Amino acid sequence: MDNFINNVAPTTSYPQTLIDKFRYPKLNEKTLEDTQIEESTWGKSVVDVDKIYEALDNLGISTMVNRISQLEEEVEALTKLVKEQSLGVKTIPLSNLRSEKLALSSPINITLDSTSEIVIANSYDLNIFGYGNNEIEAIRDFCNTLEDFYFLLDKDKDKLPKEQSVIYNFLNKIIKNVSKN
Amino acid sequence: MSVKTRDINKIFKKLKMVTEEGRDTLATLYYNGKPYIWTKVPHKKGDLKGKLPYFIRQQLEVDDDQFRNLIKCPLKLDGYIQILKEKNIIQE
Repeated sequence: MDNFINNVAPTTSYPQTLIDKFRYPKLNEKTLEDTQIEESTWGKSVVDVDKIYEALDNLGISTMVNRISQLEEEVEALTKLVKEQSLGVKTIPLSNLRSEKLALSSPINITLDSTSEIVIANSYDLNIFGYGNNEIEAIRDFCNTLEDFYFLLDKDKDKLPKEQSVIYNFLNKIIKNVSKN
Repeated sequence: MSVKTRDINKIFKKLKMVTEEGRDTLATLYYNGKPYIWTKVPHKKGDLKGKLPYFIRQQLEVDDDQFRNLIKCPLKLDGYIQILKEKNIIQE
């Protein structure tokens, strides 16, 4: 009793093997069987975190946690899919390039591909696109991009590879460079 | 797969594309002095919205796997030029 008062562990007459068995933290890893023997013989005497996790495993908690995290990933992927889901694609003729430098001599077809996040105006003939928060913005950006693209090709017109050369010639048939006038 | 603006800018750098800053970042791939590939990416940071990655991939003339490899780095300039040659986009 005096030892407890002085905060000193009392000496016992129990064998060392028994003391080690109940020591916390553990001296070495116990097998599940050891733990079960301990519990069945002596009752649970220490807080054993491994055993708590093991018990949670037995209850299927960690499986549930994994499943929840899988479901979260799936919901995220589905949300992204919904946002990317096309709300509709329509093809319209574009007649006005909204440019001070270029004008169309004949309309070109562009597609407007809308999702909940963005509208993309695209020409498959020219392989260029513009984008915006709505159709007008997307068309305006497409016109700006077409202008950039035209002058890029024009700058390198003497060294264009075959595919770009074909596009440049096509553009020259449908576009008038009004800035030259 | 979400694609970010910086992923595309990394591709431009890796493929040594000539970039020009305007309303967007415009990038041109020159090979033997000739412009073969032209695309653009918005300045706005973060995930590219909607189908923008699809249209950029289309302009880069690569399929989905090749696009992933361009982003994740295994596909480098030599491999990319080889793809363009196999598609007859680059003819020598």
